Amino acid sequence: MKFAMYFMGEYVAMNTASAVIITMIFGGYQIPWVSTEMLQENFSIFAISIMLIMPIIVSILIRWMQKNNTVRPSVATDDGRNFETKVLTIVMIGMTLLVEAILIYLAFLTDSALANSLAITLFQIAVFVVKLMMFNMFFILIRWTVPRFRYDQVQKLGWYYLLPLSLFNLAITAIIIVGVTS
Amino acid sequence: MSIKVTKRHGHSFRDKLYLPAIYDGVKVTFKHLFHNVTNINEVDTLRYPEEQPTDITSRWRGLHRLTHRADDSVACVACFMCATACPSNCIFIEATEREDGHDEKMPASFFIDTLECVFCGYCVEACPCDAIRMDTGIFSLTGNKREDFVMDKEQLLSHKGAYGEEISCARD
Repeated sequence: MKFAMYFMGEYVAMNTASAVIITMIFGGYQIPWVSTEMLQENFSIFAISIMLIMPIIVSILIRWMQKNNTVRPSVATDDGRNFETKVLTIVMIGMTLLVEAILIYLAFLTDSALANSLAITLFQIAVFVVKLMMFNMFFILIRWTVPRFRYDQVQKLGWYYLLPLSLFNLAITAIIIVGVTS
Repeated sequence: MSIKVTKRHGHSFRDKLYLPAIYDGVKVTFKHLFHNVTNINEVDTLRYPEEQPTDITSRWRGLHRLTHRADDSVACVACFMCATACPSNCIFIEATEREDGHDEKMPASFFIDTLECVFCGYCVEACPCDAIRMDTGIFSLTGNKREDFVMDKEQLLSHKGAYGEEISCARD
């Protein structure tokens, strides 16, 4: 359990770092080039695009499950995984239908701005979670790729290449901002 | 004689930057990740509870069993050889007189504490009657309390040999 706590702490730190990076640099809970006001003004377009995208994602997930959530028939004859796949398929389709029904109601049958805002908030929470998971995946990918880095190389990379690059970036940004605003 | 000069790597700007090499490595690991996630059954691991190992050989030391004679009586003559040979002192035998005309002695009780057992197989080597064997092929023993792991005579007699030789080869 001690090791579990240590490893959990490691992953909590990873999540925190990912959340900070997303909030500072990668737009937090927004999707690129789309602001909250834009979503609120064009709520029906937003709802229709979610209604179109969600079945596609769910069908990909179900197809993945049907292919991969099985045991090799040459090794085992257990039927549990197929049952699990069946139940989860029904649950997923049911959830999709529920979300579609709610979105249809919000987009076409009611005018409540509060309900629209709540739906957009939920969507933005989901966007943040997806971004968080993508960054966690990236962290893990880097750990797989360079499991035993040489510390002198990391120091060299940081001091000789990344620090000058970030200073250069700072100068360029300053020049562009001054150039654009004045 | 000419001197052989080995070309050293790692001095170009691209090598010193490290990042292109890390990018190449990330590509490799991501390729493996994508392939394994989309074709899980091609990964050479067993999905254990449903998929059981098929490569356990007859020489593999599994859970113990006590063998029978041809007329289904216990082959053990309670000579205590296995308990003497046992390095972890996990075999507890109580002998009693034998009435069925085979030998003089038989075990009244025969306990193996599998939590103490180190599965070394010395008891099988020591047995003069081929009465104790480890050829059941049972590799997982589960229980809810410690007492569940102490095998008594009836349990040991009920285990079946997994590789053909059912009765004792030394007693009839």
